[in-house]
Amino acid sequence: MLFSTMTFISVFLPIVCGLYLISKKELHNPILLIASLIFYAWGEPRYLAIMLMTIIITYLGSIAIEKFRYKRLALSITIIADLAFLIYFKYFNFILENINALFKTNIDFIHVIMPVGISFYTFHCISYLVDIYRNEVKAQKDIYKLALYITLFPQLIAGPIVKYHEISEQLDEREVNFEKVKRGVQRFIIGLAKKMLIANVMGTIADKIFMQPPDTFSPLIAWLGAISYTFQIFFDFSGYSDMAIGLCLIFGFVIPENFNFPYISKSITEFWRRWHISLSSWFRQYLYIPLGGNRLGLKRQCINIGIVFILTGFWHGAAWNFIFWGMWNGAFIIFEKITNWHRESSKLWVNFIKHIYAIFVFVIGWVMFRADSMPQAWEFIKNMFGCIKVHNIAYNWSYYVGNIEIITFVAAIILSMPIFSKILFIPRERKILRTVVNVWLIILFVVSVAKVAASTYNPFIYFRF
Amino acid sequence: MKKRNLISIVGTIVFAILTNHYWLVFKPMETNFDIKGIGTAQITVFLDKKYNDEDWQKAKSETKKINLYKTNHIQYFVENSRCPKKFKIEITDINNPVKISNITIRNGEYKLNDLNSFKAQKGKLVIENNNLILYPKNSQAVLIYNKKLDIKPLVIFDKLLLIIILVLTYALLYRITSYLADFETLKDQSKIDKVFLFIFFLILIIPSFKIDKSDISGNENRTLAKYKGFIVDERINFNFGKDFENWFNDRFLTRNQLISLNTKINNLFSPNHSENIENIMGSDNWLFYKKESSTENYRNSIVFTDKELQDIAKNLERIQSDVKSKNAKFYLVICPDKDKIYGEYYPEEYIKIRPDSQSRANQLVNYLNKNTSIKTLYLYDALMSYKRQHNDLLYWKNENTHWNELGAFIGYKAIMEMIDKPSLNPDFNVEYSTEGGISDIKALGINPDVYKNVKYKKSNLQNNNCEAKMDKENEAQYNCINPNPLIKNKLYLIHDSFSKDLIPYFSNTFAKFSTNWDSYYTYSNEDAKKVKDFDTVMIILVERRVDALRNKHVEGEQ
Repeated sequence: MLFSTMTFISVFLPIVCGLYLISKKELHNPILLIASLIFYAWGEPRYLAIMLMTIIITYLGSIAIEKFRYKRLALSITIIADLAFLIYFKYFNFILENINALFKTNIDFIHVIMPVGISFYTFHCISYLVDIYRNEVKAQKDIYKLALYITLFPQLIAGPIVKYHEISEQLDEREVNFEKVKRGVQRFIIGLAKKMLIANVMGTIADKIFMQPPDTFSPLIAWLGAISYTFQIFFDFSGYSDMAIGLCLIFGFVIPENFNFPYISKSITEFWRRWHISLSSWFRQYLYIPLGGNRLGLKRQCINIGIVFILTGFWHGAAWNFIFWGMWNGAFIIFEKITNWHRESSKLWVNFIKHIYAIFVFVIGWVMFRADSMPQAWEFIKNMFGCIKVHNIAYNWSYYVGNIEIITFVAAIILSMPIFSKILFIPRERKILRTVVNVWLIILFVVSVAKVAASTYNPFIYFRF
Repeated sequence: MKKRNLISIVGTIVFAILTNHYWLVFKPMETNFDIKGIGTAQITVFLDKKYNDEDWQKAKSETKKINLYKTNHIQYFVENSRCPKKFKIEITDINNPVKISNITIRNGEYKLNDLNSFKAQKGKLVIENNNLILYPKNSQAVLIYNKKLDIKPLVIFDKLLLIIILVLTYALLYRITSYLADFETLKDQSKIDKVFLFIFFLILIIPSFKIDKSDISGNENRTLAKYKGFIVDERINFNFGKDFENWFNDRFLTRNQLISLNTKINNLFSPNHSENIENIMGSDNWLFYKKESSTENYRNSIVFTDKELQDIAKNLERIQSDVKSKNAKFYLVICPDKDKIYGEYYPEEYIKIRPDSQSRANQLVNYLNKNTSIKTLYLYDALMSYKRQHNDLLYWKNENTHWNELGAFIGYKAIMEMIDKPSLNPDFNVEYSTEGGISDIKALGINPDVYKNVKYKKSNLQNNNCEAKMDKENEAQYNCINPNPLIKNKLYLIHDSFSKDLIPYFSNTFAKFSTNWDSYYTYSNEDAKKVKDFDTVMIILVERRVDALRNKHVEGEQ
C-alpha cells in the first residue's frame, strides 16, 4: 500500500487513527502492529513471510548476542542471515549478470521480485543488533515490540531509517497528545502535497526528456531534464519522509528528521549532512566509524569514505549507475576533505561559488541516478555540456513546460530553501496567522487528494481496437 | 465512569435502533372479501405503501386459484405491508364477470364501503346492488381502490428480545469503553486547531461514506471493478489488496467531483493545453487519441527496420498463399489515423520528425509493392484528395480517432477501385451532430457544448440483411447475404473498429459479406475454413497498428 492512494487515505488511515486515538495506551502497540502487518501484506501478502522470518531471526540473534559468550559470532551470523534475504532478492541477478559478463558464462537469472522495503527493514534489524552488541540498549524481550519497531508502517517502505536506540524507549512509553496529532496531521498534508503537486509534475517533465535518445534534444532541454529530476527526487523522497514523520507523530512517536534543505549546501560534505540524513548517519555509525572513521589518518579516511559511498550507491539499487553515483559523491567528498573545500568561508562570493559547485555536482549525480544505464547517463551529461551533435529535435519547449510546470518550478525553488521552515510553529497567540495556515493546509490537502483521485480515472474508448 | 455510562447508553440505543427489525416485527396485513362468478380464477391482492409509486410489486399476497361457482369468503395475507396506502386485486385466467363485495382490511377494522372509489384496469367495472361487478378483458381484470388508505400496521413487539439486546449490548460496550482513551487533552486546545483536525478527518472519511454500486461508469464508458473478497471459491485471494484498491478506486464517494476539480485546476493554469493520458486537445477543439504510440505515429518518429518489413511481408504472404489456394484474392488496406488527415489541428509542440511521405504506413506499402504481389492500399491519398475539394468533415471532430460515415465512404470507394469493381453512390444528404467522445472531452475539462454546431454528413444506407453475432469480447461479427447485390463477389473481412462504418457499404455491394473483428488481425484456422466460401479476403486496419502485422499472422505458425 502507498500513502498516495485513496485506499490508504480514505480507508486504512482513518480506521487505524480512529481505533488508535480512541483507545487506551495498552492497545496502542497491538493496534499499530496489526495495522503495520496488514499494510505490508496488502500489496505483497506472500512476502510478509520474508519479513516475519527476518524478525524471528533478529529476535533470536539479539538474545544470543546478549546472553552468549561469543557475541561477535552471534552478531555476524545474525547479520549475515538478515543480509542473505536482501542479497538474494535485490542483488542476486545483478551478481549473476556480472559473472556472466566477466567470465562469459550463461547462467540463467532467477525469477524474483524484490519485497518492498526490504532494504529499509534489513537496516533496521542491523541497527538493532549492533546497538545490542555495543551495549547501547538491552535486547527486546518482547518480540511484539521488536516486530513493531521493524514493521512500523509509516517508515516501513521508504524510511526514515530509525535506529533502534532512537526509538526503543518510545516503544514502551510514549505520549499521544493533541499537539502531536495536530503537528503530525500538518506534516502529513505537507508531505502529500510535496509528492502530488510538485514531485509528480517535475517527474512528468523528467520522464518525457529521459525517455528520448539524448541526441534529440538541446543542451537546454537536457538541463531542464536534469533539474526537473533533481526536484522530483527531493520532493518525492522528502514528501514521503514528511508523511512518515507526520504519521509517527500522530501515533506519538518522535523520529529524527530525514532532510534539512540539502539543496542549499555549499559542499557535498554538507549535502550529505542534509540529504537522507537517516541513511548517511546509519552508514556513519555502523560502517564508517567501525572502519576507523577519521581516526587513522587522512589516507585511511579517504578509503573509508570511498567504501561507504560505494555501498551507499549499491544500497540504492542493483545497477552500475547507482554504484557510479555513489562513487561520484564519494570522490567529491574526498576532494573536499583533502582541500578543506567544505569549510565555510567568511566571504560571501566564495560561499556563492561553493554553492554553485555543489549544485553542479549533485545535479549531474542525479542524472546518473535517473538514467537507465551508465552509457545513457554519460550521453545525457555530454549533451548537457554541448558535447554531442543534436539532430532531429523531437519537441518544442512547450511540449515539456506549460504554465503549471513553470509555477511548480518556482514553488520548488522557493520550497527548497528554509524560508517557510517555521510555518508549523506559530505561537498560539497569533490566531489569524494560524487560521490562515490551517485553511491553506486544508486547501492543499483537498487539491492533493483530487490529484490522487484523478490517478484512478481510466476511461475506455467506445470502439475496441 | 459517567462518560463510560453515557457512551454505553448511547451506543446501546443506537444498536437497538439498528436491529429493530428483529424485535419489532410487522405482521402480514390481512384482507378479506367475498367473490363469486363462473369457473376458476387466479387472484392476487396488493397492498402497497407508496401512494404515488407505480410499482405495486413490493407488497403482495400469494396468488390463489379460486373456484368461483359459489360465494367465496376469501382471506389473504400480504407480507411487507406495514402502512399500506393503496389496494388492488388482480384477477387472471378469467373469462366471465365476477362479483366482489365486503372488502375489509386489518381484521375487519377497515371496510372499503365507498364503492364509487373503485376503478377497473384491463376490464370494466359496474356497481350493482352494492356489489362490484368486474368484466374482464383478455382473460384478466384489475380492481383498484382509488382513495388513499390510512391503515395502521400490525406490529409484534418482542419485549424479551429487546431486553436481551439492550442488556448484552450495554454490558459489552461498558467493557469495551474501559479501553477508551482519556480525552482530557482536548480541553485546553485552541478551537482553530480542533476545527482543523475535525475537517481533516472528515475529508479522510467522506469518500468511504458511500460506495457506487453501479456496474458501468457513464463518464468513463467502462465496467467498474467488482468486489472480490478475501476468500474466493474457498481459497485465499492473495490479490485481495489490489482487487480492493481497484474496486474502491472505481467507486468511492466524491470521485467524479474530485476528478473534475483536478481537471478544473489544470485548466485554470493551462487553458489551452489540454492533455491527459488518453487524449490531446488540438487547436479549434479537435480531439486526438494519444495512446498506442499515436503521437509518435503522428510525428513519424518510428520507422520499420528491414527485418521488420521482411517479417510483415512473410506473414502476409502466408495468408495470401492460403487465400489463393481457395481461389480467392487477398488485399491489405490501411486507414490513416485522424491526426494524419487533420494534422493541421494537432498541437504544435509535437514536431514531425519526418514528412508523412516517410510514415510507417507509406514505408510498408512501398515495400510490399516492390517485394511482393500483395495488393496494398493506403487510404491517405483518397481522403486527402476529397478533403482538399470539399468542406465536409471526414473524421469526427469530437471523437478522438475514427472517421465518420462520409470518411468511410471515401475509403470504400477507393477500395472498390483497387479491386476494380463498381461502387455504390448514395446521397449524403443527412446532416447531424453527435455527442460521441463526450467522456473524453469532459475529462479534458472542455465543455461539450462547443461541438453543438459541428455537423457531419451521412447517407440513409443501412446494413443489408445482416445477422450479427456477439463474440467472446462482446463485439458484433456480421454475416450478410444480399439478394440484390451490386456485384456478385463475396467478401471476407478481418478488421478493427475502423471498419464498423464500412459495413453498410459492403453489405449493400457484395452478394455475401462476413466480418471477423480481430484487433490482432490474426488469420486463424477458423478464418481459413470460412474463406473457402468467399472470393475476396481483406485485412483493413488503422495506420497506428501496422506494427501488429509483425506478429505471427497465421494461427498455429511459429
